[in-house]
Amino acid sequence: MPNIKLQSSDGEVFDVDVDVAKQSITIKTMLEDLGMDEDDDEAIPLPNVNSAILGKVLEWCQFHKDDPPPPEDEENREKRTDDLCGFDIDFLKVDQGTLFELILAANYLDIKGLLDASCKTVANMIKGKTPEEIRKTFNIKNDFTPAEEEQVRKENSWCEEK
Amino acid sequence: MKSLLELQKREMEARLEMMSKTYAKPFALPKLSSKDDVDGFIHTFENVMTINCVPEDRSVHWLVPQLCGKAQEAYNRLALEDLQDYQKVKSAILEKYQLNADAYRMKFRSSKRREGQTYKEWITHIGGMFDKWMRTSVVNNVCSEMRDVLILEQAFNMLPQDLSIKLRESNPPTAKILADSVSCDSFKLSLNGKDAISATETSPLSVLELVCGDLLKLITENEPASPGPQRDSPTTSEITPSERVVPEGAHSEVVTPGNAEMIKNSTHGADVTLVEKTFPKEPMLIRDCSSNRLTHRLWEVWKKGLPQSISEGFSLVLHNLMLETGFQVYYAEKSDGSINTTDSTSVEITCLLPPSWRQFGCCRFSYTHQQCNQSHISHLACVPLGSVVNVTGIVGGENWESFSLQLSPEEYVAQWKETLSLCNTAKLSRIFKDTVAHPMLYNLKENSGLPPSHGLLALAVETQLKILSYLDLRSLLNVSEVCHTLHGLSQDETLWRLLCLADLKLKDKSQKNCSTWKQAYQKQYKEDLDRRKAEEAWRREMLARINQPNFTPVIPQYFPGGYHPGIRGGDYDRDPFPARPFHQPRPDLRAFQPLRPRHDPIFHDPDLDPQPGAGRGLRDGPSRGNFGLRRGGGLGSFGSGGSFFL
Repeated sequence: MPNIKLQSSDGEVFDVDVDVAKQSITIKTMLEDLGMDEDDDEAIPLPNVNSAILGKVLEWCQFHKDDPPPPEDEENREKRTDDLCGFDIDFLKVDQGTLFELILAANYLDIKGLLDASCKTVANMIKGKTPEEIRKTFNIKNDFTPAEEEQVRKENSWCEEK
Repeated sequence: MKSLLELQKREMEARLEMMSKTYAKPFALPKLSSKDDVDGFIHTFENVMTINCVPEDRSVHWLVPQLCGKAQEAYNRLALEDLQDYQKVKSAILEKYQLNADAYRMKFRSSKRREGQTYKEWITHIGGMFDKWMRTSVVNNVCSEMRDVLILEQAFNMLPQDLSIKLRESNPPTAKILADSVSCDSFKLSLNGKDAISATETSPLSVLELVCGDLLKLITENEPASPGPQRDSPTTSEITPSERVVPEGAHSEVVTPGNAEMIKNSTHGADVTLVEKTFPKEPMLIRDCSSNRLTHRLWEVWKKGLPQSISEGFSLVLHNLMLETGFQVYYAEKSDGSINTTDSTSVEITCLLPPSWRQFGCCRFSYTHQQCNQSHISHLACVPLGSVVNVTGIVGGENWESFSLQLSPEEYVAQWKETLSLCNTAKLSRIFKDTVAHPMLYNLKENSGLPPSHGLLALAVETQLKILSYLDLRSLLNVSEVCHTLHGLSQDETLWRLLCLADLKLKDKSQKNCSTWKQAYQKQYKEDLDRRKAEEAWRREMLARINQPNFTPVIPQYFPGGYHPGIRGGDYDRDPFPARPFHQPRPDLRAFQPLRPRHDPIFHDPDLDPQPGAGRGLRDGPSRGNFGLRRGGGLGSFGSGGSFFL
C-alpha cells in the first residue's frame, strides 16, 4: 500500500498509509485536486496541527481505517451519545486541552467520525450536570448578574424535567 | 647489367615495402591539432606505436604526418640528420612547447581535478605527470615505493581537506588503492533520494523549493564495487551529522545555505550512501510515557532534582505537567541572594527547576505563563500527607484562586530509586490537567484580560452547536444558564428544530402558529404535558378505585335478559336472531326481539342434523339461518380471535 508523508506544524514528518490518511477529507481532496502523486516523497504540510495531536489523529484513523463510510446525515435521525465504541471511549479519555485540540484538528482535517466521537464525548461531559457543575468542568466564568440569572431560570421554568 | 637491374629492382621493392610500411595506415593514429595538449598527444602516440610493435626508429615516419602548427615548425627546423631520430624530434617538439622537467614538476604539483574528471582519473593523471617529470629529469631508476609515497602525498595535499583526513586515516598503501577507494567521483543532493536538486552555487534555497525541515539525502552515481577501506574506519562517524539534517522545527537549528554547504563539503566525494535512519522515538508528553520511556525534559528535571522520596519524585512529574501546559519556571533573585518568589521586578527564566523547590518536606514551584501577564505568578505546592500527596495550584493576580487535588504517588510511580518508571500516565495527565493545570491557566488568562485560547468557548460556533445538538432538553437549558455566550448559543433555531423533530415529531412550526422552533417546542411541550397530566389524573383515580376493598367491576349490560354475550365475533354475534327467510331485513335491534338459543359449538347441537342428503349436514346452502355451524362463523370463530366478555 503506498504511503504518503504528512508534516505537522512543528516540522515532524509522519509516514502513513494513503488509505489511513484519506479518512481526512481535507487530505483526500488535496491529493485528488492537486494531483499529488501517491508515491510522491513530498510531505503534505498541515500547518494547523501539531505533532502531538497529529499523532493521536493518525492513531484514530489507523484503528478506524476499515470502517464503513458514515451514513448520510439524516435530518431527523436520533442523536445518540451512548453509541461510542470502546476504542473511542478510551482514546478520548484525555485532558480537555487535548480533547478540544482533537476537535479542532478533526474539524480542520474534516474527519467526520473523529469529530462526531469527540463532540459526543464533550456532550456526555455536559449531560446531567447543573449549570454550576458545567462551569466548573469547563472553567467557564459566570458572567450573569444575580438578576439575570434569575431571569434565565424563570425563562427555563416551563421545562419540568429535572 | 643483369645484376644492376636486379639491384635496381630489389631497391624498388625495398622502397615500395618501406613506402607501404610508412604511409599505409593499418591503424588509426591521433592527429595533433592546435588546441590539443601536445604532451597527451605524444603519450597516446607512443602507446599506439608500442601496441603495434613499431620500432622507435620507424615511428618518426608515423609521427610526422600527424603534426601541425608549432610541432611541425619544430620538426622543420631540425637538422637534416636528426629528422630520422624519433627521440630528437620528440624533444624538439616538447622544447618548442616548453615542456621540460620543470614544467612537468609544476603540472604534477598543481594539478587539480577537472570538472567531469573522476578521482581515479585524476590520480592516474598526476601519476603520469610524475613519471614524465622523472623521465625528463633523466632519472631512470625511480623505485616504485618512492613513487607511491610522492603521489600519495600530492593527492592528499590536493584533495578536499576532510576527505583527505579521512583517507589518511584509512592509510592506503599505494596510489592505486587510493584511487580505487575514492572511486566515487561525485554525488548530488536530493530531496526524495531519486532526483537531484539542480542548483548552481548561487541559487537561493527558495528557488530550490527547500524549506526548513526538509531532509536532504545524498545520492551517488555508482555503488562501489568493494567497500572501500574508509567504510570500516571510525571516520564514518563524521558523516552522521548530515543524517541529522532534520531540523525539528521550533527547537532545532535551521538549515541555512551556509549550513547546507557545510554538509556538502563534509561528505565531498565519499561513496557513502546515506540511508534515512529511524531514530528511537521518544515520547513528547507525559501522557505518552510508559514504564521506561520518558520524555527528555522529565529526565533532565529528574537528574537535576535527584528526589529523595517518592512524593518528591511525583512532584517533579507534576512539575513537568505544568511545564507542558505552557507554564515557565520563575524565580527572582534579590541582591542578598535569597530567593523571593513574590518579587515581580526581576523575572528571569533560567532553567527547568528552581533551585529551592524542596522546602520543609514539601515541594513548591513558581511559574509565569508565556501567554499571560508576566507579573502574575502562579504556584504549585505538593504536600505529602501519608500515602497521598495534596496538590494545590494557586493562581496569582488580583483575584487569586486555588485548585487542589489529592493524588496517590504509588498509583503512578512504579519505580523511582535507581531508574524512574511511571505507569497510568495518561490518567495522571488527564486528572491533573483537568483539575489543576488548565483551570489555573484559564484563571490566569482571565486575570490578564485575555480570551480563552482553548476549551468549549474557544471553539468555532458551528462546532459548539454540534456539541449542543447532542444534548437533551434539560441539559440544553442547563447550558443556557451557564453564561451569556452559551445562553445566546442555546437559543439557536436549528438546535430547537432538531429537538422538535426528535422529541415531539413536530415537523412544522406553523402547525403551532409559532414563529420560532423554540416557541413551537414550548407550546407542544405544554400541550403534551397537560395531556399527560390529565391521563395521569385519570389513572390515579382508577387505581384508587381498584384498590378499594369492596370493588366490583361494572359490566355493561348490552343485552337485556341476563344473557352473557358469549363469543365475540362469532355467528351468534353477527346474527343473534332466530332464523328468518332469506333476504328478509334484520329486525330492529332497538326493539326487543326474542333471541334464538345459543349453542356451544363444541357440544352436540340438537338443531344440527349432520346426515348426508339435500338440506342436511355440513354444507352451504341458501338457507343460511338454518344451521348453527357455518363457514366463517361457529367453530372457526372460536379459534380465530374470539374472546370473551367479562
